[in-house]
Amino acid sequence: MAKNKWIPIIAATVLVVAIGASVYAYMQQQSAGSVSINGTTYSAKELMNLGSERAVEEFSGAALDELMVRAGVPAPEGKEYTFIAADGYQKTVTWENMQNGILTPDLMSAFSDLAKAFRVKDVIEIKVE
Amino acid sequence: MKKAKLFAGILVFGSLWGFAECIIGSALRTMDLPAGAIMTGIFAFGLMLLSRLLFKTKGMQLGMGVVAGLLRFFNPFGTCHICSAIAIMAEGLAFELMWMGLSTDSEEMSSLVMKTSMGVITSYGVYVIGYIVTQILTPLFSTAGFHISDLLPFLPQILASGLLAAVIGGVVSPLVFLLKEFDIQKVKNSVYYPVTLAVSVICWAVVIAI
Repeated sequence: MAKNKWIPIIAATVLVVAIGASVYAYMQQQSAGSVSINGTTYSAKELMNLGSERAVEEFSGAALDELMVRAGVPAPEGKEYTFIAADGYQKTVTWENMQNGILTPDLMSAFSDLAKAFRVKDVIEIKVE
Repeated sequence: MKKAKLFAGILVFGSLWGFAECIIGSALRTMDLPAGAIMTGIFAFGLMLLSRLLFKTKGMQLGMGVVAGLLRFFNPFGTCHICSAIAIMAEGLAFELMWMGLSTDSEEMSSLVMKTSMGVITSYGVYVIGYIVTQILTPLFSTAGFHISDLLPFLPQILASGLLAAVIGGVVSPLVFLLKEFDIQKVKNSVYYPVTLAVSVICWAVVIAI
């Protein structure tokens, strides 16, 4: 088949894939506002009261390592923590990173020792493994 | 084409791309606009296609990616410079691969449908590849490490967010093709070299100084 036939077909397929992915992503979107940690769900206000305040660059929020201890995570030092956002974005960090991290009042993670890509917005779950 | 003229072209187009990524991209992010899709559709794809049309030389866009990536690397703002720099270079490589078997002078590329289609495919491909490369490299260069389980559930979002880049690419491509008739060979050396050098120097100076 000539290029002027299959290239438009590929372009149309690309658009269909992108639109399909948009619909799928929209359907998978979950509502933010609370965070599940170790099987228990906390509101933003509860989380801010749970950990002491820490600053990371221009942000301040609850210290993540303290949050994990007070949320009852057993032996938190050897665990990995996955921050899952309402839109499906997720990032996994170590305990060392947690000791340099915060959860802001609008439920965004921020770490002084990690790149901006680790700023997970609208966190709905912190999975402990 | 003289090699010196080609290298000057790579330098100036790569510098403009890197300048756009660092300065305009940052401004768009500050305004909470979809910077990645806009940058890829207009600047990355637009500049790579324009250079391909003007210089008609394969491999040039990869060179542009290297220059733009280096400029991004030296930009004092932002995090994980090496990751962003490699991602930009990967975008240049992606363009080369997608245009490998195509001649911009061919009869096939004369129709609006073909120009728009290649704009959609290339802009989307460059965006998605750049996004995925960044998602892999940034954790890899951090103490947290890369986890494939972080990337896979987010792939639908990446594929979805590329829709805007695809649409922009489909619009930009026919517009860039309007400049195809401009003959870069006819530009006098006494004008070409000082202008390309001056533009490149300004791009680098602004990015490094700001």
